[in-house]
Amino acid sequence: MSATGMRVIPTKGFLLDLKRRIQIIKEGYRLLSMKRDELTAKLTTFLEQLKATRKEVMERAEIIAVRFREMFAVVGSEKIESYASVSRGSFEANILPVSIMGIIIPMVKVLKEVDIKDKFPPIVRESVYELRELLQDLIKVSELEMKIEIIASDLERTNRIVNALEKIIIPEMEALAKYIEERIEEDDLEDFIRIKLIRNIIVKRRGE
Amino acid sequence: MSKIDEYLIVKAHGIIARLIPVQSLLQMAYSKELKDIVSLLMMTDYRTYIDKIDKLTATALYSGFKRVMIDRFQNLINSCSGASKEFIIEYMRLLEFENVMRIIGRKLGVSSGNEIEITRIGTESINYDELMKASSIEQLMMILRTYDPYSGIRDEIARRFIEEKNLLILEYELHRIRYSKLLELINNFAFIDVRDQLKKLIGIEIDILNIYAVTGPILYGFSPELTRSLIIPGGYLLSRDKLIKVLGMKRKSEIINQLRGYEDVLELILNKRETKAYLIAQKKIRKELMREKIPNYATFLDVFICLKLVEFEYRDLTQIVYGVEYNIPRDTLQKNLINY
Repeated sequence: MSATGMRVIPTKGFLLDLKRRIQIIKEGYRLLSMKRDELTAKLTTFLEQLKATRKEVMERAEIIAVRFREMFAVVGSEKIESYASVSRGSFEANILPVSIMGIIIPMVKVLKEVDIKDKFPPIVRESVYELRELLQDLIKVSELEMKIEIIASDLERTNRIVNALEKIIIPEMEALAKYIEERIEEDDLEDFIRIKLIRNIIVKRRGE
Repeated sequence: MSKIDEYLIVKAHGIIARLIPVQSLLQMAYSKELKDIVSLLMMTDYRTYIDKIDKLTATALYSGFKRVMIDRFQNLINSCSGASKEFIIEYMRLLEFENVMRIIGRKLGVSSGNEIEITRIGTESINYDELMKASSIEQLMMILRTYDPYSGIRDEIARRFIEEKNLLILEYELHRIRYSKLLELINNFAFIDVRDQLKKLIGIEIDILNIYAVTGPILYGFSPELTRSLIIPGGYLLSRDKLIKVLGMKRKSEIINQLRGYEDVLELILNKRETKAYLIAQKKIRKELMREKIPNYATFLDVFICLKLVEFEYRDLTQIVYGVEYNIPRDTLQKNLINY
């Protein structure tokens, strides 16, 4: 009876308390199973999303990189240097906590973008805008990856708890309840026989 | 035609004859590494500068290409005087503007970084060191405007540039100044026989720049008001009115119809393939140059053709070395060559 970790008193009061506890644990097990199923479904959806998004983003990143190199080769390093060295403010983002089934996952909220509007010359602007869009896509991918990591780690924990409840704690507690029931039944039978014997003795004495 | 001009034209022919043939450029575009390009360049004018390179990089070669281009332009300048000389100096102003833009870019930057390596041209009207020493953008603009042709920067543009710290505004203003000066020079009696051809060729360059400017609002949300100030007068096919009308247009087909004559370039720009569009435009200019070359043989147009061909070779070589260093697919690199 190690999993329950409690001192066993084979009394009816204890049995009632134990049965109540088993009921609560079973309810908890049911809820955790539901959470596990929901998390699994969410994880599968996010994984599919990540797979599709990452593939798309990587393909786009590759095209953008090739185009950037082409642009660099055409424009030359000096013009790029002139425009790249100008300060355009900073990029600011906030990471907000969002709850999914009680799990806190991060959500990136862009607060301030780098100011590029009206600022870049022909040819260079094409790459600048493409790279800005790519940055937003990369944020989306990393947000998705983070979500998956957190959900997967919580799913692993939930799964361990559900398995422990299903395979160890609930069977052990039910076995314990059964044992106590049997002990109580035995005690009751003993009491009954003892009373019967005493009654027989009393009846015999009165008869004499 | 004066004797001096005849000498200039002969010089121009001489320079054209020394340009790298297309086949060699194509061979370079297929090189595996920079060393292969260098071995091909060792038989050309570039040898002098390549010999001095310590560490072989695309940027080191690029600097060499620029120096050879400047030397060739200088060679032409030394062979002429008067309006022709002024024209070539003004044409070369593009390189001076690049230097000025780099200094200003650095001044607007957050970090000072390494010192800027300026390629001196020899015909500059400006003192770069004085510009670099400016303590603020306001002071820099003040210094800049004390020199000619920068005194031509409009007050409104200077104020806007200082307020918005927007290099694009200044870049287009410098283009405007350069092109208006070139167009003004063309009116000189010295260019009477090729005036129309020069106007057309320079006009095409202006048209291309204007097309890029007016497509900014529809493609990248540029403000129409800013775009209006960017338009450079003196285009060949596209008048200011035609270009302004584009600012109110939403449909791509409408824009293509409005800016007729540049459909191929526009299609690419509107599909956000600006690099390709630029290359197509340069090829278009090259084609026009070649078309005008034959009926105007032994005129100042040959000098202009020489200036453009030297510039195209420099741009192609730049593309090749960066393309090889950054491993651009060789087929793409080959197709991108202006001379191809």
